[in-house]
Amino acid sequence: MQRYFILLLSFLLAACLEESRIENDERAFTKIYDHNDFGARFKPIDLQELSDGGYLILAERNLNNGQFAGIYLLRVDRSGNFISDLEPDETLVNPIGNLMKIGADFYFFAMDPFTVQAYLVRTDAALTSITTTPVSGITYPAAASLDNTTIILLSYNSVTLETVISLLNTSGTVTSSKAFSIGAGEGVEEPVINHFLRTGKQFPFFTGKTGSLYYFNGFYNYTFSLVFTNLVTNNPQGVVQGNQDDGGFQALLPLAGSTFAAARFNYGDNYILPGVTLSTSGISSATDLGGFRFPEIPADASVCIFRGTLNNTPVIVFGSDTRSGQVGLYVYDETSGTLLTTRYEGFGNPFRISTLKQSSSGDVLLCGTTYVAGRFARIFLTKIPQEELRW
Amino acid sequence: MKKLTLLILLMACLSTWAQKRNTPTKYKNARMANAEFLEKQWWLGLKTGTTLAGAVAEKAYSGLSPVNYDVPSKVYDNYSEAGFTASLEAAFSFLQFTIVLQPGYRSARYSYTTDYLWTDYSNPDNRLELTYLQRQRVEYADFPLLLRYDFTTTRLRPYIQAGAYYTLLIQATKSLQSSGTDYASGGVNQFSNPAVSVGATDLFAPRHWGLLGGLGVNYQAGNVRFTLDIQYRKGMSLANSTENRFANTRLSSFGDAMDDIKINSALITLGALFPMKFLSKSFQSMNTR
Repeated sequence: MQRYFILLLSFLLAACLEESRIENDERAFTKIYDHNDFGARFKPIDLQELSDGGYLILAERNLNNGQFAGIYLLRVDRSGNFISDLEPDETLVNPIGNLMKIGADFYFFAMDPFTVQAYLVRTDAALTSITTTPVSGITYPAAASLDNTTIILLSYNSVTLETVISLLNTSGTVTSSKAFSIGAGEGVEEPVINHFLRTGKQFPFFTGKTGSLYYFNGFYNYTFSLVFTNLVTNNPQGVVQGNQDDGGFQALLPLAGSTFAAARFNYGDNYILPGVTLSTSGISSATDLGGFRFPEIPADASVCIFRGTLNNTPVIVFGSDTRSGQVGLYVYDETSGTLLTTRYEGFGNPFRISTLKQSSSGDVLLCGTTYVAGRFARIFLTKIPQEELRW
Repeated sequence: MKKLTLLILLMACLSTWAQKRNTPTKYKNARMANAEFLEKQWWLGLKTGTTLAGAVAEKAYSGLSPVNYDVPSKVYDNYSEAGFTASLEAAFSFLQFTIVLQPGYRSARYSYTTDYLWTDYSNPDNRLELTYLQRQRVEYADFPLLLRYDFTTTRLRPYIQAGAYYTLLIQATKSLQSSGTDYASGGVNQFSNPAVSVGATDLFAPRHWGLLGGLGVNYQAGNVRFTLDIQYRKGMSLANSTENRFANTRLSSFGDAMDDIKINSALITLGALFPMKFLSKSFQSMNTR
């Protein structure tokens, strides 16, 4: 009997010992992708999970010559370790999200630095090939999203001073398009151009579809607004106005019908709305929507949202920069709209959010910029196991 | 530590005094008479001393994943920072062999550095050299079991010993300090930033085990056995947590990730052991044939 007891005790003691396991390496990590060039700067835009469990990151890099940002693509493995990267030449600049996965390929938009014409860029998961297709009649691409295999593109026409929303196929052919005036007069496009030159405020341009309506977040009628359109009539179906370029939406996620998860800003203040009903017809004001005010989020900070299930609970997760140089994650119960838990990433070197997603395994993927040694802007990728977001 | 040392000395003095008071002249006469009885003895005592620890990397990890240079390797500075140990010793002697259970406290300290270099491609003279120094202090509750062999049966007994230990993590802390030289800001500026200290218990394995070997010497003064003990403990399982490698966001934001390591330690202790059974009249506790 004593012998069995000793054997059992030995087994239990041994079973509790630490072992090197690849599952643990893949389960949670924070990786910073450093470059030893003193003058290099990188800023991620979006990421996609690959079929092999790795990740593909679309980013912009600074260019020594020129006023726009260059394209940078980074592939990492399941544990976040660097595999390969790609720096396309400077014939195309200003890459924009989303990084869209269609079939086995990945698509995003960039533009010609001289003609500012939009280009649809396609690459594969291994970054072995890259093809570019000019998009006829489209300039200054600002944001893109995917509706099944149809690409929704938001762009700006500096000749007609119009915000343009278009539908494209993967060949880069525009199948439908509508343009909306940002307003007439001198100086009205200045903040838009400064956005593209990266010399001014970076506006949270985005686009998408809810029900039968398409929407975009951009300039319309002198105001940074959320605009709903059916892409048929010349006038918008609905407009949720901001406050010129000092107020509006930072992020939006359709939940059901006219209910959305949203984040808005207004003269430097930031508000989170886990569940808000928006009027998709007529004109309304974002200022009237209320929301939870977050003094810890600085002015003009990026806000990212995803809808998912964490620990068997339907949640809406918001992520944003904080005044302390961290990235804050705010997990809300989708049903009740109550805050379940928060988590902060980063401490020594500043962290800035670019994208926030849920992985196929249900964990949280956070990608953004950190400043190595307090000065070098580099891409970071953090994977947070969902069990670490308990409440 | 001072209190513990004083306590050991006090107990040793009292025991020695008591033995001398009762049997100053009968010691030699009585020792042979009860030899058989005294071949077995239980001992209980305290030990305290210093430790030196070293980490051996089994597999390297880094939070920084360079895209155009090799991952900088950590350079470990082992056996250079002293820690503290104190233990209770319960021993059973039979002839020249002793089985020892030695539960105790041990702190292990070690450090490592990682060097980085960024160079301006357009002007190589512009560069930044940066060194991260990471200091670890880990505290353990050890449970060693060992077999000891005495070379002699005299008052002065040198011995060798071997065994194994199982250890439980009590707590751990890490501090990170960055320093370097900036050649790119208009001069040669050497800088050193204040250290950042954080609790790091989650980053270490809650338990591990190892083998130990060593030597020492006992000196019998009356009934008290004074001992000088030297041990080398070799970690046999990982001392870091593989699950929580990136759990500390403060450290991971600097690009730090602990390697898979095993911790080895050298311990030098002084102590006093007291017999648990006596002859009824002589208070003799040992058989010095």
